[in-house]
Amino acid sequence: MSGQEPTAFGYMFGVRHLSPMGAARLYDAMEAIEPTAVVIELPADCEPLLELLVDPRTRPPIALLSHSRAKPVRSTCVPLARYSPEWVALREGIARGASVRFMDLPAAISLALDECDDETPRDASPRALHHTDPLSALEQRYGDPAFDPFWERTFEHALAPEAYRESLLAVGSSLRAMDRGRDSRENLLRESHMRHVLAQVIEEGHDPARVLIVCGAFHCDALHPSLSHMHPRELGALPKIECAHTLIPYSNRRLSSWSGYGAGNIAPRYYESLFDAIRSGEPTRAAIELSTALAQHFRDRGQAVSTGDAIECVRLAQELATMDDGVMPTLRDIVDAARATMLGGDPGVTAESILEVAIGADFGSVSPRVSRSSLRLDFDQTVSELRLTEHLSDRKLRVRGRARTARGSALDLREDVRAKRDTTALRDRHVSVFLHRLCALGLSFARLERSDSVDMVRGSASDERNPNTGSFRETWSTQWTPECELRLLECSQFGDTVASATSQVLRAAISKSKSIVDVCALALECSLCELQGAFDLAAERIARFALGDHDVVSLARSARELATLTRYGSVRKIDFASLNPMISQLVVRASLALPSSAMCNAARSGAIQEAMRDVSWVVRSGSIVDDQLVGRWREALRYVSIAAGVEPSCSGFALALRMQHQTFDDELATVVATRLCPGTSLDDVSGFVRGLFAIYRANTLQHPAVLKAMVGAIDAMTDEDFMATVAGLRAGFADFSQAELNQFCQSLVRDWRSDGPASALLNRDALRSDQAAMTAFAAALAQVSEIDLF
Amino acid sequence: MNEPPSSADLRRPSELLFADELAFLRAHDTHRCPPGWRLSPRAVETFVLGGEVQGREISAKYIGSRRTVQIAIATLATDRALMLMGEPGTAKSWLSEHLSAAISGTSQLLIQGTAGTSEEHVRYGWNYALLLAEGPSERALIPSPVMRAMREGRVVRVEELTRVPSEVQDALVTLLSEKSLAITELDTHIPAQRGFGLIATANVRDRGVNEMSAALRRRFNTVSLGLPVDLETEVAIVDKRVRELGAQLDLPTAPPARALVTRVVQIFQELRLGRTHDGKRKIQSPAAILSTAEAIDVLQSAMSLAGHFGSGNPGDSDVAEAIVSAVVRDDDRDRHTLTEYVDLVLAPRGAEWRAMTDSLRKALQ
Repeated sequence: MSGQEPTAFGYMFGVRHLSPMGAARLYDAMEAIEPTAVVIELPADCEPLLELLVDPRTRPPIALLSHSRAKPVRSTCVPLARYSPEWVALREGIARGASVRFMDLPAAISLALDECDDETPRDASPRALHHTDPLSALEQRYGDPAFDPFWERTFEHALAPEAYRESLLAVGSSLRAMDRGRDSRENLLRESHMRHVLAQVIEEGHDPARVLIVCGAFHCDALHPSLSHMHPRELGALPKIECAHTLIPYSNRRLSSWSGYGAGNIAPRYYESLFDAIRSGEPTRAAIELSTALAQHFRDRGQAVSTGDAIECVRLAQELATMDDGVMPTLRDIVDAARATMLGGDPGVTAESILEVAIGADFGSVSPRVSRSSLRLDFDQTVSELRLTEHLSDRKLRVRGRARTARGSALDLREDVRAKRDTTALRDRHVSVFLHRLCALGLSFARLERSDSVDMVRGSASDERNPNTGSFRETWSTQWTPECELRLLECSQFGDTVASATSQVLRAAISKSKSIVDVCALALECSLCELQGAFDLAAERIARFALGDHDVVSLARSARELATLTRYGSVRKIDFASLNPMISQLVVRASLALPSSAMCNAARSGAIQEAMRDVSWVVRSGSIVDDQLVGRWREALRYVSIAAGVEPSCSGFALALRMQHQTFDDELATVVATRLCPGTSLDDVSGFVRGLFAIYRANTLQHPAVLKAMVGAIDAMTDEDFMATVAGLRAGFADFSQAELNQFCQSLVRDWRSDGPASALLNRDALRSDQAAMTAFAAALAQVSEIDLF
Repeated sequence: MNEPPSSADLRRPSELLFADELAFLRAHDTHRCPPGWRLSPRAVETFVLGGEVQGREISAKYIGSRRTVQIAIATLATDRALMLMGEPGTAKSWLSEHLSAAISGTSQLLIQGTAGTSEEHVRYGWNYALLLAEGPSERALIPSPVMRAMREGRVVRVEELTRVPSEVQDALVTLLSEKSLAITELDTHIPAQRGFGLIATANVRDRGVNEMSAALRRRFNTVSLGLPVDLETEVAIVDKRVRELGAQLDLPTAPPARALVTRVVQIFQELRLGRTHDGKRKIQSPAAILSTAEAIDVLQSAMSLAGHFGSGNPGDSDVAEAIVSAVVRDDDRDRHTLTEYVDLVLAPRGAEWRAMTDSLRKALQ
């Protein structure tokens, strides 16, 4: 360093990172000091991007993206809007022929320091570079809703020439005094590095009076020559990861939801117009522009919004600003005024949809000289890591895995306990997740040929296997085509990694889904792709649908779909806990709706039985832990099985389900007797019998109580009654195989009361032995036209 | 024109009840006063929402969103009229009364909108005896509250505007845009004085009864009033009101315990908002209106029940029946909704809610 210590490194211009007033005032600062060097708080190792940044074809919103070359991919990005002071500084600096330098800690180092471990959900967006935004301290103090208007009124509307710079310097100092994150290791390193770059700049011979320093207001006080700066040797000793830097197009939408810097970005379009308005010397024009744009927006949507309304909106906004001692309306004033003046205070129109206009749909563009998308890089890397490189060819290949099946190799999703390294142990599962994600992205690369697991979910309605069996095998084939290249390119707009892009695509699909069955399918997809965030969104959507549903059939189906999903918990990483309360809710609602729904006609009975089957399956699968809720379902089943008005086959079906978990011999006998009693129509008799044997037939056929009840009911009949009923019985047994019929009759005859009327019938034909009686009865049942034979 | 208020009056208007507060605010008003206003918008805000001015405590008349009140006041400072919209029981009239009392010193210029409201109520009428005797004259004219408000530069209130027949509503259109009232019979017009404003209220449940014409609608800025969303506020409102009513009706019972009030309000809020208090579970909302006023009714009837037929101390069992009848209005769906809520939300909450859960289950049978 030079002998005499300079009193300052340069002209300090403290900013907030997305700040219209800051950006506008920077022009004046440039004019005033005519800098020979402009030093900006951007990652130092991004300096090579300068050339691309000043390319006229690069248009904000854009972001500087740095990502690690090694797995797991860590990335960090700094978005820049047209109203970012950094953007103005670098463009103006170059235009004025100044030397432009980036002084923040290199991204390669901050990424290495980042303690982000692999546990962080993979679908998280790139981390905001310095996520400990000191200004969030202010935000917390003012409470979320009040902070943005406060910030805008106090700083972005600071119209006096030096007001912005001075008040921000003051804020920076007081924040440091509040000691928010000042002494964190990361911050100390960063400031030390910034001083290091600044010292270098001075050493290069720039006059401090003509060095313009653009940095977050928080750091201003620390960038003083009297404080020690990082030695090049120390810099070399810091951990570092190999990093690639690139520019990516950004969108206003992402800018507005981007966390890390807080205010100034919830409404990029509005802030951009505020920036232009300030530059043009008529700052109030921003409110007028937004009001007009809102009027236009609602007019386009068919609402009668007149120019007069837009004028009233501006006036009311101005009035509101005055009440808060502001000089001109803030975004919140305008939005509130618009709701009152244009939308008739319609509570259906949320601030969100109004904000849509203020956010804008702008999409940035980057110079065509920018190299490959980070999504592509991530894709290539994953492919090579999972040893799938050979699959990038235009022929159909089977993906090899640990499992051996009759048809060849398949993926085994369980952890390989014998593997020495983590990556090997879970390789098959990672491949599966990766390929599922590509499918979700719409890449026609991989095809799931066969899956124990997915088949089971998709074909769930007819599946009566034990709901607790796990499933873990998948067979995949791949084929790489030029279409895949194109699609991958397209997908880079959704995210920087396969995970984040897939998440984005699935989230969009979830928000658009129309039925609970669709969302459940998407939720399954999310779980296959191991995207927790998207899955949570799906769960929320399911809850929304379930709330509006009162049809027992779709409620039951939803409950079953959800319960099926939860079975993936053991193999997949997704946390299904959030689904359990929803399942209970669906089951309770189904329980409440069942009794009245079961009083239906024969046409609907099939659907109701399906519903009963589904809910019983859910209850058996152990998804419901609350005994009271299980009790409520059983109560509903009991009601359906015994109540008189219930459709006969539903009643029979409910009896069969109840027998699985309950003994109720007396009740059963009464119900069977009532349902078969003389005078009942043949359709009802056959319906009841069909329902009774529609499920768990083998069990029911041998159930002593059922046999006893049947025998009792038949015994109580007179011969004539039996003759009248037997046709119905026969129709009820229509889909029994001969073997089943034989078995049933055998059991029936074993319990036959010797002096009952039906046995008398049999006796009349001198069929004394059990065997003979069985044959005759079976014949009677099988051939209704030959009943006369009795 | 006004009878002097007497202490036997069942209810006194805001400007008399809080006369000293208004005078005090006026004396200490430091902000700009719009022409024709008694107080500055800031002072009006303080009067309505309460606060401390120069060491003196101003009572809160309306408990609710500050921003909503600000928008309402700011609207009256512009050209447009103010429409307060909301569910029944959201204190629309209450707010409009206090706003007009603070802004123009009177809340008595009032039109109650009904199907029978005619154009005379909105514009002017005639003393027919005089009219026949003398012909149209200033003397024979009977001014409406609107006309008086225009003449004196004050705020006029129209309650339940959407219950007024559409053709009568439309008499307001020209009034509000021209800011003058033509009396063709006398070949003259009454120009509105500065300070003239109009506050209308409308019930969202009346939507569709007499839809406002587009022309009239755009002369209003509309502010929606909501029910309180945080438990503490609503419990405070209900508790205060139930005590007041109990004393007023001379019920032979103790006021309900704060814990019981909290439980009732929480049940109402959760059902109304469609989610549990901790935000973890979404639940179905019943069709019935469950405003703060209904919660007050439930507790009041519980007090009456306990006082006249029970222990004298209202408990969970006394409110359960009332809650069920408030929630379950006509169809089974509401019953299912409540049963589901009791099963899934209340039952797992444990001991504190046990009595309520059991009573509700019993009442639901």
